[in-house]
Amino acid sequence: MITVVDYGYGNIFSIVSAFNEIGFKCKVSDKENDILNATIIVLPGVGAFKQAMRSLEIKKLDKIIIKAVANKKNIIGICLGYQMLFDKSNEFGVYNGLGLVEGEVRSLKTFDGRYSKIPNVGWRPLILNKENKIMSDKNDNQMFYFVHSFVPFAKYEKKISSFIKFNDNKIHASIHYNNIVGFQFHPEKSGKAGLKLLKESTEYLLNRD
Amino acid sequence: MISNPVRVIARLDIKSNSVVKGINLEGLRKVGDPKELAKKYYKEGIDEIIYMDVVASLYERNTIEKFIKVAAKEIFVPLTVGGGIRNLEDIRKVLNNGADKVAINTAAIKNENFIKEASQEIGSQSIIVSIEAKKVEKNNWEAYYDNGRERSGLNVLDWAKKAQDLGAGEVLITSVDNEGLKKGMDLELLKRLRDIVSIPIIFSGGVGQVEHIIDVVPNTDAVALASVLHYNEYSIKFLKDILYKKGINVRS
Repeated sequence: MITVVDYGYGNIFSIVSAFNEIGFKCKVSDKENDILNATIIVLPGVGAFKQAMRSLEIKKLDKIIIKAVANKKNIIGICLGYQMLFDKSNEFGVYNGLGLVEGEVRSLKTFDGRYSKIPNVGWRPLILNKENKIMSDKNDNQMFYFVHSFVPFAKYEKKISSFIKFNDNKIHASIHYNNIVGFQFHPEKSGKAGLKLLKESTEYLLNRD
Repeated sequence: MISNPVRVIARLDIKSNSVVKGINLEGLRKVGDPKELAKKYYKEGIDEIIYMDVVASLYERNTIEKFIKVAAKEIFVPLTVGGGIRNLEDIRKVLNNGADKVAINTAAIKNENFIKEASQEIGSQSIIVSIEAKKVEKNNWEAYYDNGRERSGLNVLDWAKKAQDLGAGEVLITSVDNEGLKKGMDLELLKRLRDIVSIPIIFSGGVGQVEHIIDVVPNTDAVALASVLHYNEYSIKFLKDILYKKGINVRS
């Protein structure tokens, strides 16, 4: 059972529609058992980091998710849900995330250059990380839909599965590592390429040892 | 430096359960079914879809939520809803039904703090301020609302800058004078907007052929198309192929 965590932030309807489209049923829930017993936990998120983390904490979902992932449960974080997998964020103050991936969320303003606008909105081509072989080659140079003003910076680059260019920098667009997958972009809003990548990533998680 | 791909957006104006199209936002005639047209454009490779309820703010009612829910089950690109968005509750309702962004016009003009409140509570990424621009004299455009019927007294350039400062994530600018004529976009208006706002611009009104898109690409982040798509003059794939061949960066 794929459980989409319901905590008041995120485009749950679209995420569930996308999973249905690629042949997976989802349960939308904020119940401990549904999270602990999920084959994959999906953490959506749209909005501000601080408020979204606070909402998880009020429902005590942060501890439940951390416990599930420590027990090797699979998780997919999308957009703000991806950012919350990291140790902390610098969005309007310093706030702790779930601490499932080493690294921190930074403002796009901290990246040098003067060409790209903030928020970074639109379709961007992925550059695959050759060190991380989980995402298939057909995703290289494929465009996915981004809308964000902040981005996580992972401490260990081998966990990063893809980058995009932002100004003169490469920023971290996704992670695929053991039981954890995360996307800064919206695979559920990225047309056929997005659905294919979501399917590929779901199958990777379900089939890993 | 390769520029980011320009987004090609389909704009579907909705009135009484149909997609409608007029000229200068007037004389609306039915051109198709909201779900079927959106689905067709999605399959052809559109980058985004905007549903604009053109009577919602006039009669204070919403017809669009039901289309969004049906559309979002089968269409996997960003969906924006405009028309009749009056408060945070309206925004939450359409976002919970599968929309990704809202376009706000009348409610923002009546209470500019609504932009601030919405971008803080919901997040800038979901808040588009929609501006209907009508030329009043050379190099002076006034913001209209209620689908080009009412004048606000606001200067379009000042208002766009204000919307950005209040937290809007994008601006959707419709040139009322050029809208529906298919004779090209208001290049002077766009140039002045680009000088004044740094957030993404979605430019709308006047595209009748591919060259009209090429004309605006350096200054806009996205173009919203209606007539040229609704009247089957180009398929989206064909249109993007030409753009690509002309050296414009688009999503294939």
